[in-house]
Amino acid sequence: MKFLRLISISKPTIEKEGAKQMAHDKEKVWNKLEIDFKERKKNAEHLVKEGKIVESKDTVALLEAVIKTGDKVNLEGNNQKQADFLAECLCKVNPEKVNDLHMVQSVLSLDSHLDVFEKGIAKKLDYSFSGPQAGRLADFIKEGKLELGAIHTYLELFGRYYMDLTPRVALIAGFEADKDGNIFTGFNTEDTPVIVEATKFKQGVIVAQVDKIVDKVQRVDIPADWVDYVIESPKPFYIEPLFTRDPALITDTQVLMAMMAIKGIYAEYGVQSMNHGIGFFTAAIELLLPTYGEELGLKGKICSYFSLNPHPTMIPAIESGWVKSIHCFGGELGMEEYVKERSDIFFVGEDGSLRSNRAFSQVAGHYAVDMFIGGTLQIDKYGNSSTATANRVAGFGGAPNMGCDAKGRRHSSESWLNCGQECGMQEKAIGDLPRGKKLVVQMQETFKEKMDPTFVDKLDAWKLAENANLPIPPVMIYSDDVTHIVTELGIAYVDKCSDLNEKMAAIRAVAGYTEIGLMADEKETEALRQKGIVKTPEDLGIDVTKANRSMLAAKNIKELVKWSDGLYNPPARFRNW
Amino acid sequence: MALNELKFVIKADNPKTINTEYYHFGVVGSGDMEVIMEKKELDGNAEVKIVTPVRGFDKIWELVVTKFVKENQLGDVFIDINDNNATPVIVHMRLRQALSEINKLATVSQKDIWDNMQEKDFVEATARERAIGLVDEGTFTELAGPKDRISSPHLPVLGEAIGYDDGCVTGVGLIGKKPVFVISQEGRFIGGAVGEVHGAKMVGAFKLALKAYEDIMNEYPDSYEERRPAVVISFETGGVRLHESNAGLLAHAEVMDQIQDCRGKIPVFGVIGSKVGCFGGMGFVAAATDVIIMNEQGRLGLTGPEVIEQEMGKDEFDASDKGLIYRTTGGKHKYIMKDCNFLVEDKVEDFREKVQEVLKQPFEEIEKYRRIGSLKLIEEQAELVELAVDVNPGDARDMWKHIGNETADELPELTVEEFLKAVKIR
Repeated sequence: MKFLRLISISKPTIEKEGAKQMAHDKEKVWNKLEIDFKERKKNAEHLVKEGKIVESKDTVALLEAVIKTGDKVNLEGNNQKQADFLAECLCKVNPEKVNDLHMVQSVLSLDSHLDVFEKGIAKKLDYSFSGPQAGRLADFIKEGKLELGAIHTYLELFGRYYMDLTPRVALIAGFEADKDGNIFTGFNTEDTPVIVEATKFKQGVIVAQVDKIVDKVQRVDIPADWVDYVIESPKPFYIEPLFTRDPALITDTQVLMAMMAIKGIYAEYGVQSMNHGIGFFTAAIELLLPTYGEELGLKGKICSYFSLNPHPTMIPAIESGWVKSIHCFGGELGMEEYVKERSDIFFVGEDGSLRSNRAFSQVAGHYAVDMFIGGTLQIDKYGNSSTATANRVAGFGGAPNMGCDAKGRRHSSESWLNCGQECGMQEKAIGDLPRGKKLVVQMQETFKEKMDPTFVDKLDAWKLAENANLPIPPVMIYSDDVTHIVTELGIAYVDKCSDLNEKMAAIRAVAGYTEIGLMADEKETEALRQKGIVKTPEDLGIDVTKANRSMLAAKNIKELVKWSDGLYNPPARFRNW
Repeated sequence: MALNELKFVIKADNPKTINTEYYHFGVVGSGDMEVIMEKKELDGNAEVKIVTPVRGFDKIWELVVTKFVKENQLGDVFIDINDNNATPVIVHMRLRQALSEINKLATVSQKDIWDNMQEKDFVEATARERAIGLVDEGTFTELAGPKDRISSPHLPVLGEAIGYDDGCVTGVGLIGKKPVFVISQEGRFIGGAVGEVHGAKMVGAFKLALKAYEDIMNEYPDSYEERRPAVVISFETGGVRLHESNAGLLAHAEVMDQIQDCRGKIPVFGVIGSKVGCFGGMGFVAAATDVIIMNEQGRLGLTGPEVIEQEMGKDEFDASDKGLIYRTTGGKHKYIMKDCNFLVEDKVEDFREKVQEVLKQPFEEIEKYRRIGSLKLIEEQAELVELAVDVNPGDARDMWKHIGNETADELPELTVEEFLKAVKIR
């Protein structure tokens, strides 16, 4: 009995504990995000008219209903496309209702992108690039108006959308939507898919501004299931024509450097796939392909594949049959019709409109290109290069992903192997195994305007780090990734150098009359020329006196239109007629 | 503030001089320079003189020019540089280009050089290239050119770069038997703005043309028509040079005066097709010429776009809208409104051939190309003002439509040839 009693006493106790445990398990909710999502949707229910349509006048109310204090919010600010109407509306929400937002967005380019911090609605920022707002952003950080998470490259930030920076709400932009929420982002798809996928599949809210609500969208870029609200914005979203370079502004020096790059790098390594930066150097290269490139008999041997926006200056090379394929990060204003009519070259939907995608193009630019080539602002004595100035937190964009050796690359190509073979430091790192290397080329004149030297002892990035409380100086491309430096004086094949000292000597040899260049030792430079680590235009067999604008396949925007057979329709600010 | 003048004497190993007495190269544009290389007895030394607004880089100048002289083993040569913020490498490149041109003189004929110029885009050509290319092959003689080293007396006081032609190339050449006095403005030098020397050279060219006219009338009383001189001004200017505004303004008045003196005697052509266009006071001067020839890149007006925007606001005129600028001041619009007589393609050759073609016409016919200067023309202009009030155009295209161009929107897109076929002018 006693035993039984004991049991009878203890049994209920055990049962009680177990029940407690089970009740606790019942309390453990595994779909809080879903519940929260539904709650938000319910808050906004009264604002929805037909399907998923919300009227533009109700946008601020919608944002107040679906955004909660402390949320991570992605405001679609891309390199080109801007969800500008939603950005303005976000600035108008009541900061007492909605505040402490953590903005995660690739580009800060509109005033409203920072106004939202000024108004006390947002507090923290993680971003990638801030071109036009770089100066104001630095001030905000200094004044404590904004808490900076980190500055990323595009791919890095996209990666974090799927790790620890998943947005709770994403405010995106498209050209068209139907009432169900299908969205056409077409030519300027850019970052939208990567943002929407991260947000939506973590039970987040997607709000889209579109230029027009239509019965049937031209093409579905973002399916309706992934979208919660669509708003026809009062005016079309803003796009920045970032990649249009007027050939009329290309200088003779840039022509010379472009000739050196073509002969000394493109031809030398047989570079077939690449990304070009947005500056005038690469514009000059693009415009020299049908002239100088043709003269050197390089067609078919170089420049067949690009990860690149639809640069208008590519038109003559495309028309002359140089290019096989171009995948685009984004669109470029005025190139719509041209791209449509060249679907063999570009990635185009059945509707005839380009499908750009920044994430995929960046992946291609990192893993699938043999070369990244572009300009910079400063190169230090070690070969680190940066576009940072002391008071502007401009960020990175995509350049560091493309402008670095892809360590995970395993496929080979002629150019990749050629560069790996001559790499002076490879054996020290991995022994005698053959391995290739991506060409990372930095082009820069030794002086900018007003005799401002571009080769410096210490990068301005150091000063910026100090001014804006950054943990490290923001460096665009580190010296161990740079393989070539091109200046008006020649090319430094720094990949061939066997140690940092030799690399520094090679840099001095092409740094001209800057403080760094003046330290060059004539004998040392001569030895580097003998070794083929430094090549002057003469060494490359280039007639300097021939280097002038008359070499360009198109000398102005109008000639680009002519090359395009009237298909290129340049924006107003570039139309000189 | 004054300009920085540097002098270096450099001794190269085994020096040799250049194979011409004198050579001038380059334009004093922003970030650029001009250089004169001259043979001179200097004990085998090379002497380099530099005038520049830049200070603090004297040592680098010495390094650059020393390198140039030594690597090319130059001696008994005087190298005279006017610089405007050229970077050291540009300096080195320009010096090498100049020397390379000199070395080519022996092998390349003057005809080749002239032929090349004919092929050049007018809009890209320098003032000197235009001057040489606008007249018959091998006939151009530059007057008061860089060799005479007449530069602005005012700019050095302000620390501004000078040029040995003061942004104006003047000289005389032939088209057929007619002496053609050419005035060609250089937009790269202070935007082609007219200062004292620049203006005086313009006036001087007119005076010589008028004197040539008198001489020819006396010497060839029976056949002066085929020898009748002409003046051609290749405009590229924003008008008065603000650094020397009084002298510049006075020059405008004097040029106007000269044009009046030419009336009934010699034809005056304005050719407009360079980057800067023709604006400010020189817009008035252009209007006073007998014949205006433009390309579609050429622009003619009084007040520049930025100034209009600044004064009247962006709604009135958006200076960043280049299409708007060209529709308002560009060659095609000026042709439709009969502010210019001829629209040509953009090669130096096209301009030269048009001048040549017009010069073949009797003088009385050429005078009829004038767009102002008679009662009838004044009445016409007055009617245009009324028309503008009636139509109240928001854009030049409204006016083109009013005149009968149904497809006004397409006109800017057409080639010159297509345009001339399709267009209806007022």
